[in-house]
This record gives sequence, structure tokens and C-alpha cells, in this order.
Amino acid sequence: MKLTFPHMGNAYVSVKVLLDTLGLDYYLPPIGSRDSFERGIANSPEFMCLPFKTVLGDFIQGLEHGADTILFGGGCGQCRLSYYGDLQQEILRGMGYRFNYIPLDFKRLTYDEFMNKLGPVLDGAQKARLIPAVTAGVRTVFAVDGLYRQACRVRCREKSAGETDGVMRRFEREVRAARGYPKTRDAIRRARRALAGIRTDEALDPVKIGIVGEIFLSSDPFTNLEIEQKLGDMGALAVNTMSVSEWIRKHFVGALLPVRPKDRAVRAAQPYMHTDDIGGHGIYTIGNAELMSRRGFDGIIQVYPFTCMPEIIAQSALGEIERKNGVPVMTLILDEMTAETGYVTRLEAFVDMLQMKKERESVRRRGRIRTGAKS
Amino acid sequence: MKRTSGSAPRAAGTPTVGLPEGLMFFEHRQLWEDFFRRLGCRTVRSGRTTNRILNRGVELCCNETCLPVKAFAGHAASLLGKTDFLFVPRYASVCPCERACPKLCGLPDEVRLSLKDRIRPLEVAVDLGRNPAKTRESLGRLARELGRSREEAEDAFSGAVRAGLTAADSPNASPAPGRRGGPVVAVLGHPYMIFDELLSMGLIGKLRAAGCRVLTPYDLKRSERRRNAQPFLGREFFETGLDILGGARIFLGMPELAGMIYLTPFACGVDSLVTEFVERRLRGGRWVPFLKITVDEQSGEAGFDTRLEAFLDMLPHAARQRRESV
Repeated sequence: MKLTFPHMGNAYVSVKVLLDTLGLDYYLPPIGSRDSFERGIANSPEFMCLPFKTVLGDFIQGLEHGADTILFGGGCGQCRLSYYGDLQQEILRGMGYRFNYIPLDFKRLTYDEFMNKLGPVLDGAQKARLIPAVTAGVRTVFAVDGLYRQACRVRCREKSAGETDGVMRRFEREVRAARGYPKTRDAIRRARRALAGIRTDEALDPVKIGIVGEIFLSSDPFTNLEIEQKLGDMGALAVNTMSVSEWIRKHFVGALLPVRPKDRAVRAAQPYMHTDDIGGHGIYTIGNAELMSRRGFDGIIQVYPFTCMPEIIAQSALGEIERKNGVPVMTLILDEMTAETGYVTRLEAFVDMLQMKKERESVRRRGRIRTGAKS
Repeated sequence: MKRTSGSAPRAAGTPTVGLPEGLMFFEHRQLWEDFFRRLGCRTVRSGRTTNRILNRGVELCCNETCLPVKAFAGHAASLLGKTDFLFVPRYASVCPCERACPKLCGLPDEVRLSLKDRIRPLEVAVDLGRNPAKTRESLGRLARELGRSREEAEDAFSGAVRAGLTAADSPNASPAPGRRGGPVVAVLGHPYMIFDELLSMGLIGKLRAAGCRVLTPYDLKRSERRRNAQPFLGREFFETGLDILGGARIFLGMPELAGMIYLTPFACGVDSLVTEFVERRLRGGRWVPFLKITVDEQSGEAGFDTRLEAFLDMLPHAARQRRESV
């Protein structure tokens, strides 16, 4: 048996740890491959959202390279992600592939869920390793996301441009080759140390931009055209509210807790949406945008794939949030037709605007503004 | 919080409640009218979708929103100042295995935000499948605002609405079948698309005028549609998606079916899945002419008609007629 699984940002690092610890054979689809992307698009319905297309592309790539079992998820809810599996299986079988499909329930990722779904393909010794493997996988998720957050903090302040990107590229190369939890953990630690060693300009006060939106796109650099990196290179501090760890926190850690604590973001969204669920992470988009606007962020960027249903609802509230808090909000909608140059132009214009706004406000605060004075 | 805009003077005993005629009201209009009648309110409908209503909606909504939601916002705006209250239900799930489109879950807020807080709609959160407590809670709020007791609202809801939401027959679906004998054309789509004359560009009327017998999923019993809703039999999916999938499967099994039309608003998320399933069933099974038409607020009727005519010419019945006349 050979497994394959789709990419979602840096999630592959933890899935690798999980499968390596279990001792399962798998095929890791190439990261950011144009070829899988194109094949996914060619075989997907036109108005399906972008994640569907990239996930399908990864499956095709995996099945072409000898995988016979797909590890993905499904479930229930108002987001189409829950129903991907049904259609993707049909499309792939229609293309002539034969495979076994393991759908994890995305809404309740508990140890039991892993045991129920993965159990049948594991032998006795592997079954015994399942709990440590899942635990190692989950720990990796948080470690990797911590690293990427650190990279965002360093990147916008680095003294010689491109150093952070260099460290991260090296990390990605290393971690792809690393097998098992200890090696992966070491790679993460090395990268964290390397990031800490980068010379930064601590006096710099970069504009702070919060990223909200659909979770797949927000956390996947290939489909969001490396928004964190691009903003960092423009000298802006990007704070991404959506990440794989956020998702695990909600669906894995959340499922372990007997009572679900009321989420701060959901509470903050209430004045705009009088409900706790509009599908996907729509309510978090609204709540986080509101929270960050109140907490001194200079701007908010919402990213989502074209036709994403929950985010369209969320977008209708963002205008109101912008008006109320005076913090600019920009929505970027991506699909396979998005041209990178136009995207960069919009990001640059947004960052420039925020920087000028920030400067003007700080000058005004210092009371140095005089009529007719040159700026 | 403001309740009404322009505050039409409130009649002491019978408050008026505006029902925007879009989205769920195509299926459940009578239920909600009955609900408010039981609560001693008078309902005012916004009437058919007109160009003015639609244009207003397009101006008000964020541009990514789908056509029927824009039309709905236009309907809501057209009622401003005409009634004491505006009613916008929040559909989340009508029964355990059925979800509403996310746009319906946020509809009251969407309407309020696009009307710039000029009105705070009355809402009932229909969440019977997942969280019935929320429904009760929202009924309590609605009762308070209308000056009725909570029990009255709950009684009215269970008497007038609850059963109807999942009733065997769609209460408002177009009942009049077309002329007997003509070719049978199945029209698939959300009820608020295919039964809205403006949004559907009079599709059903045009088909009937061309001598077709029109069938829609809503002419079938709900239980029948559910029994045929592959591949989501007994599993959770979008409510309208189940209706259309079930309908499509039944129609494809009808020997007299001559053609099938799927009308979808541009970039509809539910339809992106459902059309693909329907098309796959067609490809893998019986050969039936199939037309998928996507419309939005920029669609021109002439182009629409041309495509429809081309489709009608393709039907086996038309081909036979052509042969006979030559």
C-alpha cells in the first residue's frame, strides 16, 4: 500500500511525521508544481473553488506515481470542502484510476477518528504506534507554524534583504528529506536558530497587516502567491490568523475538550453577524478583522478563492468594520487566472497607502504638523 | 436598536410585516404568511422581481454576492418605510441531514448591512437540524418585538411553519403543468431561480409557449427527491442540492424526457458541485440534450433566447417535426 495526500501550505511536514512514525509508505506530491495545478484545473468543474482544483491535482500526481490509497477528509457543513471527496472520487475513477479512499472526518479529528479510519490499513505494531504518531504530528503542526510566524516577524525587519527567505528555503529543502519526528524537529530548531541569528533593524516600526480569510488559501503559499513573503519583502509585518495549527486547534484540540469555550473571534463578530456559523471560517474572518482593527493593526487583507461561499458573506461585513474602526480592509480574490503582477501591484499599493497613513498619523500625533510645511 | 425606517405609524393591533419575495419565499411563502397571520400581523409582499428591484439590489450588495441574494436585497429595500417590520428568516438547517447555503445563514445580517443599518429585520433562525434551541430563542426575540408572548410565537411556528418546511409537497411550486403531449423538458435549478420570471428570463413560460411540458424537481414529492439524491443518500448536503440531484435522477429515468435545462446563477457554489454530478450522470447514462445556462445581472435576453431556441431545435421531437415538414 502506498498513500498519497494533498498539500495545504506546510501541513505536509506534519502529515509526513505522522506517516513516517507509523512506518507507512507514501508519495509526497511535489510542492508548488505547475503541472499538478494544471491537471487539477483541467479536470475540475469550472466554478469549483481553487482548493478543490489543487487538491485534485495532487491526487492525480500521487496516483500517477504509484500511490493506491488517498488520505483526505470529508464531513459535513456549509463549506464545500466537506463534499470534495465525493466528487473527486468520481472524477478520478472516471479518469480510470483505481484507489482506496480514506476520508477523515474534518470536524472531529480525534484519536478515535484516526484509529477508525486508519486502523484497517495498519498492522498490529503500527496500530500501537498510532497515538504517539498522531501526537507527534500535532506537535509538529504547532512547531512549524511557530517557525513561519517567526519568519514573518524577522522578514520585515531584516537588514540584508532575502536572508529570511534563504533560511526558509533551506528549511523546506531539509524538512522534505527529513524522516520521522526527531529529524523534523531538529530541522525546525535549526531554522529557528538561523532566523534568530539574522540581523534586524529593531528600531523599525513596520506597518502591521492582518491576514484573514479562507483557511486553505491563507495558509497555502503556492495558491496565495506567497502573500506573507511578499508583504514581508515590502517591509510590512504580516500576521496570518489562519494556519494549519489554527485548524488543528479547532478540530483536534477542540474535539478533545468536553466543553467548547466560546471563541473570542466569534464573539467579536456578533455585532455584524448574529450567528456563530456561516460556514467555513467566515465568522472568524469577521471576528479577527474586528479584533485586529481594534488592536492597532494598520490594515487587514482578506484572501479567498473565487466563489467561496462563506467568505462572500464575511466580505459584506468587512466594509462596515472598515468604516467603524477606520482601518483599511482590502479583499483579494484568487483563482487559477490570477496574474501575479497585478496581485503584486495591489499589495504594493496597499502597503504604500498604509505606510503613508501611518507616517501622517505619527506626525500628527507628535504635533509637528504645520500648515504649509513640507512633509 | 432601530426597528423600522421612516416609521410608518404602527397600527395598534395589527402590525404589518414585509416579506421580500426572493430566495426561500418561493418555496415557503405561504408558511410564513400563515405564521404571521396566526400572530395577528398583516403581511405585505414586495411583489415580483422587477428591473428596478434588481438594480437596487445590485447597488446595495457587495459585488461577489450571487444574483438571487442581490435580488432579495432589492426586494427588502423596496419594502423600506412601507411596513412596520421587515421579515428575513435565517435558514441554517430544516432537518438533520440538510444544510442551507451559507448565504441563507447570514441573510438577515447581509440585508441589514447592505441597507446600512436602516432597518433591523425580524428574524427566525431556522436551525431545526442542528440547534433547535436557537430557533426557540429567535422566536422569543421575534415575539418580544411584535409584542406577543413567546408561547404564541412558538405555537404559530409549530402550527404554521415547522411541518411545512419538510412537507412532502412543495407548497408554492408552480402547479400548472404545461400542455399535454408536448416534449417533456426538465428544468433544474434553485426554486428562486427557475420560478422567478425576471431572473430566469421567463424560461418556464418560454418553454411552455414553445409547446413543451415543463417539469421541475418541485413537482415531485420531497420524499421521492430525497430517495434519489445520489450520491448523498441519507448523508448531509445542501438542501437545494438534494432537491436538484434527486429530481435529475428521477427525470433521467423517465422515458418521455426530451431534454434537460439547468439554470444557475453565476458562480453559485452549490451548483458548482451539483451541475457536475448531473452532467456526469448524463455522460455515463442516457443521451439527453442538456443545456446549462448561467445568468447574472449582466445577462442579455437576446443571447439567452438564442441558446434556448438552439436547444429546442435539438430536441428529438423538433427533429421529427422538421423531418415531417420537409
